[in-house]
Amino acid sequence: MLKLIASRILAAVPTLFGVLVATFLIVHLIPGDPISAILGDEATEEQIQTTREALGLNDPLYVQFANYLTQVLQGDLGTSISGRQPVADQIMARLPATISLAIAGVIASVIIGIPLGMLAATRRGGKTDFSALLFTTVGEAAPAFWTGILLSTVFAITLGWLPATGAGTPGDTWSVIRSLILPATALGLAGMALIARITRSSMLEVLNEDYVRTARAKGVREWVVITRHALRNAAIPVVTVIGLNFGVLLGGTVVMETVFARPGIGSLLVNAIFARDYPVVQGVTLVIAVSFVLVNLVTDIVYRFLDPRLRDEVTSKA
Amino acid sequence: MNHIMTESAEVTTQSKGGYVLEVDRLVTEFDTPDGTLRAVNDVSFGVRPGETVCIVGESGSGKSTTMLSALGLIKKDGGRIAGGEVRFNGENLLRMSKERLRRIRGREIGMIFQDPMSSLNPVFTVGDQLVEAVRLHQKVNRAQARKRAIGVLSLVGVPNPEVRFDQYPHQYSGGMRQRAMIAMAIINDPAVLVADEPTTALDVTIQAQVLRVLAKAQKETGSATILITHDLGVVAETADRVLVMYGGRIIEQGDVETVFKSPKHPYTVGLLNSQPRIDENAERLKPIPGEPPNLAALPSGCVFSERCGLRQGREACTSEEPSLQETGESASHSAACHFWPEVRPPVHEQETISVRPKSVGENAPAETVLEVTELKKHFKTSGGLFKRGDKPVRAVDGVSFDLRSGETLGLVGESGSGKTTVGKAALGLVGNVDGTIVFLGKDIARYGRSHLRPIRKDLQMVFQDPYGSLDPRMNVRKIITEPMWIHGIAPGENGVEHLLERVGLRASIAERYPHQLSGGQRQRVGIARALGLRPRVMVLDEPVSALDVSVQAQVINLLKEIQAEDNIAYLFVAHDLAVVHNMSDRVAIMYLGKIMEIGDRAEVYKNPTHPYTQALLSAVPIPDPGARDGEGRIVLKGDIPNPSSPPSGCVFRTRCWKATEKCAIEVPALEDRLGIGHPSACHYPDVPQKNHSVTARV
Repeated sequence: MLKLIASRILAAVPTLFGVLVATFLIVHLIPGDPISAILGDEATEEQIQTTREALGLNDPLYVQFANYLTQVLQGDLGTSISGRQPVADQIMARLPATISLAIAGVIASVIIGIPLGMLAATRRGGKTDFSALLFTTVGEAAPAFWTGILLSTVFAITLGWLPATGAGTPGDTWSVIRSLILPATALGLAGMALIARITRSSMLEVLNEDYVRTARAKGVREWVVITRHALRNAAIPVVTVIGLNFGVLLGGTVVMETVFARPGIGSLLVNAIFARDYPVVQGVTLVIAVSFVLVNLVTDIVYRFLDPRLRDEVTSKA
Repeated sequence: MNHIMTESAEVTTQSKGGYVLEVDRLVTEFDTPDGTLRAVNDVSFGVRPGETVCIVGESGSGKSTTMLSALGLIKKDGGRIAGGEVRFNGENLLRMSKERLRRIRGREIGMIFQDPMSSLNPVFTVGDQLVEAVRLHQKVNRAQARKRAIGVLSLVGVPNPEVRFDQYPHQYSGGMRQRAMIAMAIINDPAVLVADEPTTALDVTIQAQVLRVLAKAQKETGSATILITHDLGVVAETADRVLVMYGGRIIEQGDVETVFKSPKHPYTVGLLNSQPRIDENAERLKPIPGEPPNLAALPSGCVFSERCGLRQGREACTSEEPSLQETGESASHSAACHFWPEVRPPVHEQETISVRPKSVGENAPAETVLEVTELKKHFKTSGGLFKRGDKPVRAVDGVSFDLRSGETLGLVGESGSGKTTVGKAALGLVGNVDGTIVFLGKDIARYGRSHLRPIRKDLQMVFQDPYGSLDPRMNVRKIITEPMWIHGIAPGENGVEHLLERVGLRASIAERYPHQLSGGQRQRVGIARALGLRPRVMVLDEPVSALDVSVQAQVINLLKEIQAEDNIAYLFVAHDLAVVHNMSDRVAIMYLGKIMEIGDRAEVYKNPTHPYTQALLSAVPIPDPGARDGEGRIVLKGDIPNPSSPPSGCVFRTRCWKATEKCAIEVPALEDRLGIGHPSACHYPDVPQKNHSVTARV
């Protein structure tokens, strides 16, 4: 298992390098200039030139990239052009709020999606199955910002049960959790629909497998057949979808942070793009890419935990 | 086997016949888009303690559905039990509470399924699955259950049971998995053991091992056994009583001797006549015409009437369904035929009726069309980025043979023997081979695609799977004409209708799609497709192994007729020694990528000199209860080794009872050491005596 983790991390190096190149190029090739954003329209030509020189913007692209790469390897993501703060600090200040929102979104989609899919599979063709299908179709069709606004209107503004904005008081766990419920639900809804569907079809397939028949022939209770013998086999495609969905959720946080006025990486990125704040855009993109790689690694490890055949893939091939 | 005290009381309310399990007028129906199918129709039988009852039948006969219905295990989609009772010790299983039924399943009735690959849960260790089976029904702690599980694993012949206990099913070989499955079925000392095609997915030497384990398990537990199979040899080998099923009904039942020696239903006779045997020399099999019945459109009257040669237009056969009638042949023998006294016993042919004009030796000396010399194919397994690749798999490791026009060379072997790879390589379908493959004077072993293309039409292949090898989006006409079109052959004389006629299909089939055809029809289409190119060589890769016995016999006869007419050379790749015996002029026995013995068919079958050939032939169950040969049978120990690390010296030595130090060092050459006319690759060849006394080992 350790070898697997090590080899996966090594394999991620070229991926991350690619991400660095791509974001660097995109940011530098899009039209617009950070100087005008910093100095405003009134700046003199001399001021502009001095600033450009100070920021290293007059160097050739490859020199700028090499400098950037050296910094990143030292853990320095540069200094924000507009905010004059180290990018790493800015990101670290906002990262926990975003990560907790994304994780809460995943949890919301899993704890509702998987049981819903199992229920639909075991009651195939019945009313429960139909209702679950209807629910997932609506859940998938509804845009996250709309459900976010809807939830906020009902549960925060009208009923006043939960806060409509903010990320809670740092240190007060209960307030942090309360602040997460609405955005996480809105965020998780589309994911939960997908997870429920995959769980349903995967369960239906597994319930037809010979080993499920073996379990029944052994005298295993139906409930145990479903939760012990079938679910773990059905989980692999579900885990794949959860992993892929995590990426979508990270993107979705941008919208949710806006709707619920939460500080986070999403809002940081949006503002940085408007301000042509290269270092921030690059830094945030890098952090998101790293989290993708981490999620993929976790998915891979979970696969191997679920299915022993994957643990010694190489030997079993022979 | 130690009886562990269990929570369920020993119920001894047995039925009149002394049956522990009794199926009474069972009817199972399935709702399908084509209407309601009766998969099981009014089936009644019982099984007594210690007795083995075999249910035999072809696909769609209802043999598996009967037992799955009895235990409440039929698929929920549209399947239901429409009538009858299934009594276990007098209690109706179909009417009892789910909880009561659950306590009987696995405790009182153990089940073994066909495919050991898919019947064990891949995500739990074998030990976990065994422990679960024990603790579901017995109040024991995990340590006690583990002890019990290891004991049963050792009983069924799993070596190193303590280590094997903690392994997952994928770390077991096929034969070992089936042993684990048997262990799971008998772990609670069931009163009834139901085995559904328990050896169908296994190689013949492994089948012999598993049948022996089953017999041992039954002896230890004293359970009543119901064995479901399509293999008449397995029936003859194991059964006390036999039920023959057809179209959802029992059409004949009785003790095994009577059913095999003097069957009184035309279907049973047809089935026995269709079965090729290694102890008989019938040149031409006598198949049952037609196909096994479609349950959605059963004929009125007798279900077998459409295929029956005894009917002769008599009205009773189509107007009235015959019921099982006592025949008086032996106690409780009965057959469901209106005219059973007219049924003649199956034909046993020892003489040779030659249907083919023998080109070998008769006309001009047959031309050698294909000459394979020292063929080698090593597959490399890919390692990951940071892993070393495994050793190459030596699929084929120095194989030489030649093939003459008009003859059939049977290539026999168990899984991993490399026989299929040899077949494909002979057609130039395998890249990067060593050795030479000379087709009509040209070595095609290293031909590229463009060089091979003009030759391809001379070298054709018929595949095993008649479902997978036809494009589902093409109709039969397109399937047959496409290769002709590619090779610029004008349909004309070789028109589709003519080809269909040659393979015994109606011309109207040309417009149909593969899914509208039966398995036998699809295989005929596959043969027609190959024939359209007028090939010189045809590689037949297990062409009949997916077919029912009665249809298999039809296709075998068809292949022989075509060969006689067109003088095609067949390379017949198969694992079924009886089929190979019937089809081939010469045979080559393969093991781990090498030929162990090769020679004239009759010679090799009569005087096998290689221990592996002897073991293979001894392992084949003969469909004749009189030929039961439990003690004289050679049962090989262990599994076929991994072809990526074959044993040194002779590859067979790890399973051979004759192996000495020499065998581990020196590779035996393929030569005729005994001077009896055909070579074998063994340092110590011998010609076996009848009933040779080789110590059998499990």
